[in-house]
Amino acid sequence: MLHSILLSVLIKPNSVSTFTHAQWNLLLRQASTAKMLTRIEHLLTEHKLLDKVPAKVQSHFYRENVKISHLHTQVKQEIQILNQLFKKNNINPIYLKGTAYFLTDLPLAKSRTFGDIDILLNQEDIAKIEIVLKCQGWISQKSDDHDQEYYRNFMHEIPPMQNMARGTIIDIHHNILPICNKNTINIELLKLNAFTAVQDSNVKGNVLAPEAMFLHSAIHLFHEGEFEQGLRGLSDLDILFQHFDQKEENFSQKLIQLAEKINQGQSLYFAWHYLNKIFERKLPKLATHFVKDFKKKVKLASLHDFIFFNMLISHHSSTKTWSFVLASHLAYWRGHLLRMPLYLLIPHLLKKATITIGESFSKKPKVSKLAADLVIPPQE
Amino acid sequence: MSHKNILKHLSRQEIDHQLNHQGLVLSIGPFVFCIQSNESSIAKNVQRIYCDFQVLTHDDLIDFYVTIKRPSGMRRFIRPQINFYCDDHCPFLPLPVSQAFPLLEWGMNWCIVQHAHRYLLLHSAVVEKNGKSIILPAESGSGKSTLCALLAQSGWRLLSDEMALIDNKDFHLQALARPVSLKNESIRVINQFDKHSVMGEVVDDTAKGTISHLKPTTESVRKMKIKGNAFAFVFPLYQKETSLTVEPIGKADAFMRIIKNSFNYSILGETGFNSVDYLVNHTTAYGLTYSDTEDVLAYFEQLVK
Repeated sequence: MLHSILLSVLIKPNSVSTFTHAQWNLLLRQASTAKMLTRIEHLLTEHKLLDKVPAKVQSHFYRENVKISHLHTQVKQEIQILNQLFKKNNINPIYLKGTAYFLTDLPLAKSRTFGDIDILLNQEDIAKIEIVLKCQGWISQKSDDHDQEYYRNFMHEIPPMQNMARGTIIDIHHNILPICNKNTINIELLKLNAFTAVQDSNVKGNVLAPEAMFLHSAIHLFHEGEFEQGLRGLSDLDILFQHFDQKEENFSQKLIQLAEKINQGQSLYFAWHYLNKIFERKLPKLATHFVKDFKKKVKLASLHDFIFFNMLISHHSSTKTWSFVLASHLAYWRGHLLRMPLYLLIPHLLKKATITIGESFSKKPKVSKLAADLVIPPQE
Repeated sequence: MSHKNILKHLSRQEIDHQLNHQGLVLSIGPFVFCIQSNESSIAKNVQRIYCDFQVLTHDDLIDFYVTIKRPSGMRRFIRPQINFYCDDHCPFLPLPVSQAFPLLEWGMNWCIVQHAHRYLLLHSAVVEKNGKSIILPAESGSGKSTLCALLAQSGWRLLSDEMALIDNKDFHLQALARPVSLKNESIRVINQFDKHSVMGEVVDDTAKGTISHLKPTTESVRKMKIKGNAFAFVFPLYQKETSLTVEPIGKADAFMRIIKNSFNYSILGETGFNSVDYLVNHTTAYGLTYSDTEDVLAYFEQLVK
């Protein structure tokens, strides 16, 4: 593992008090690429170290804060619109991930950007909500037949839908792991104890119970195939765990019980194991025991360690090594195999490759990707 | 900050060395760019156009790491292409190698537009005389850059050609004094207007036509740290063979036209509204139609008297 200055600040925030300008430059680059600038700012504020931060670096914190508050304004507006639609059609969705953290006002939300609104629905409501959204100007982002078929037959979600006027993207799930997989999750167990979070009187929505929220985040991270934001994923788990462990009674126990019920002990094991090994976090007794016991059950434990020790650090040219490159390839294949059994995966990848090659021969220009057009966003 | 060093004091060899290795660190207005590239056209143009700018070192704080390089693989040899990187991120499609320097300029604009939310960013040129700054917002092709270049070569201080940076805290204008991007016919117009104007290499067939960059005047670069006070908005429109006309623009209309030209008004929210509100209430706005160079220069002289 090559030295990641970002990781060392996450472990020991105090180290910034002796930083040279060159070290600040490196931290700025790594944190920016990992989408963790605001997280570093919050960490340094928490440790009363903000006065050690040069003004130039603070101005980069500032620009990210501007983007996050803009995002929150947009999300608020979108939730209000969506809630009206859902209510009219008797649909009761659960908001997931970024939107859920925002609705629940978790400390995490203040330092986390996200690109789309994720919701979880009963499978039988999907057809209805798709029509409702289409009537309101949302269109499916995947236009080719293969992608549509892939999502609908094998995945746990339908292709993302985008609002044509506002550009917002909504991801509609009926499960949290692909349905073609042998390890599907009994989603009703995860939905137990879901509750209505109130951001303010106009902005509310259902979210998963704390233990399900944490587990979903862990399941998501440890089933990924690409890890550009891997470090941020682990940091999400870190902040979520610290928060809930303080607020909830017997949080570790609830986590273990739910993980065992939905057969996701391994995701919980990975979460705790890497929080302990990478972030050097001290785990509660119950968690330590769980990790120790579970380790014996993990297949290819050292291979997983090799992959995740490399993937859950900052992804930046300054930290790239041969082992990182190897681990990325392994992670990619691991992610694919977790999504689909081999007999489905190979035809899928072949088909995707044919489509990609075909596209590279048709000279369709990609929109607004030319450097010369500095795009002024349309004003609402 | 380390000792003051101006780019023109560096030999071409030194510039090449820095560009090829760790990167050449330049102070440009409130930003510090680290530029890396092996392309000789980058070295040649940077040396010519940015010669008055201050060179910093890797021990200074750096805002943006930008790189211009060829993609790996066969495309290095067959009709070679070039990419722009902001740190590890490549936001654009590749362009032909001949467009390396315009791509660098566009990429640097992109960095500022994506990140500089301390400022209200307007797609405008800004020039100043007698302590009065004039903001010239305009769509591409309205003659904004030509007008800006004419004024800059007539002794006006150039604050910016591509974008106005209005500090959201004190509403002052922040200067950038980056090169003026001239297109097609206007390259010849400026060359004829001022025989001493220094321009970068002329690049044909870009998305904007033929392009060349005009070096900002030494005086403009030297005064880069001095902030400007917005005095007036002039919305220019070049129209062949018309006499000069000026029409005042009402405050409400000006407000709408300003936000239409903003890169980040919607992101800034209330802060952006307050900045535009301040500007509209502390300046006057005009619509200007012109064709004759002498007339238009006389108009601007009289405006800041």
